[in-house]
Amino acid sequence: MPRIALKNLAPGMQLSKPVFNGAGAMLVDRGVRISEEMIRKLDNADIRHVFVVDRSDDDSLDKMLSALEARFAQAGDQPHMDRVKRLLREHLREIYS
Amino acid sequence: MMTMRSVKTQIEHLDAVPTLPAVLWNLLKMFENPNASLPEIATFIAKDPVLALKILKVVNSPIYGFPGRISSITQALLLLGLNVARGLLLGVSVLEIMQKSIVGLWEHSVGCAITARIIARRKGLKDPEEVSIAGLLHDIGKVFLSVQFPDLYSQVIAEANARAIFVADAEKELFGVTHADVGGWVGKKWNFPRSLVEQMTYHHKPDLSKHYRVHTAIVHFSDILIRGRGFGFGGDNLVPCVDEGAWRLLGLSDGHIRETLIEMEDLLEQAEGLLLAGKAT
Repeated sequence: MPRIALKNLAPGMQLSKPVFNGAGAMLVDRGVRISEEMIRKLDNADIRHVFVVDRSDDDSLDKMLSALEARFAQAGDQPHMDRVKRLLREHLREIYS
Repeated sequence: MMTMRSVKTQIEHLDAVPTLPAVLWNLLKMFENPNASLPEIATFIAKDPVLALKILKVVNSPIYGFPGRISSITQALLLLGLNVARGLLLGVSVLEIMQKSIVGLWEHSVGCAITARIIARRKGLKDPEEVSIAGLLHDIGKVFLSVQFPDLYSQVIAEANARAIFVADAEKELFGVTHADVGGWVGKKWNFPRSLVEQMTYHHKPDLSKHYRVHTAIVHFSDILIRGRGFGFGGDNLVPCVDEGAWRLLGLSDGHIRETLIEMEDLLEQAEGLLLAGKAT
């Protein structure tokens, strides 16, 4: 899963998004490989989540999106449900890629 | 198909089911007294350390999000108030049977409670705790049906999944009633507050709610949102259609829904310990 809790971050993982602190300053850029030292620094800066690159991403996102379609099979063509589904699709894309 | 009257009679005599866990039996006995006071409830909980621990776990979880740590039962009861405390007691007491009746129902219920609280706060409700407890208990009818009629209820779940229909529709075919009706009966028989009874009874038909329309609309939409997100399992893998009146009543914009989803992710993650409590049993 690309968005992970800091406690699950391990050395060697690669960031897929830059990390900013509360004041908006960039702490680590995207693409960087994580070291023990960095995990400690992020922890000190009160960072709780980071986005990491996961090779199985595309596959799992596709699966998620098709499962989403299946769940909405009985929701009909009601416009509100279309809206809810679209927002969920965007949300899943955001957190899983 | 069973008649509604016979299902209702048997549900209301649930305390005679031999497999009913002792903790739940004792609880229902205590609830038979509509005037059970706060000290009486506190004494009841104090006799059962496992129950006490479970309550503190929920009270300190994102289902409530009280600031600071609550470490005593009395403090928890005072903060929650008598009505919410009764609902919470029922919720944690059925945790084990909930996971036995439908694996994933506990996660679905906790997810719905968390979502309901986020929306209740957004709508500025003065009693968001009442809505989150209703979210936690909205499917309790499924648990009671499966306790009283274990074989028939497994058939309901099997039917729903084989035919890709809603659990509520499969229930209607076999029992003539749904878990929402059953939840309402349980709530009335064991003296739950009217707001909770309405939210449980009408979470699929929020337009029928008379006195707690906004509360019921929130539980209705939270059920939809948590199912849509694919978190937990309510017995089928389908998202029901939102009720038109409830949708208008809530008036959530795209931005509101987006923010709610993001907040849900954070709180669900924080609720990990509570969710594991369901898995361990």
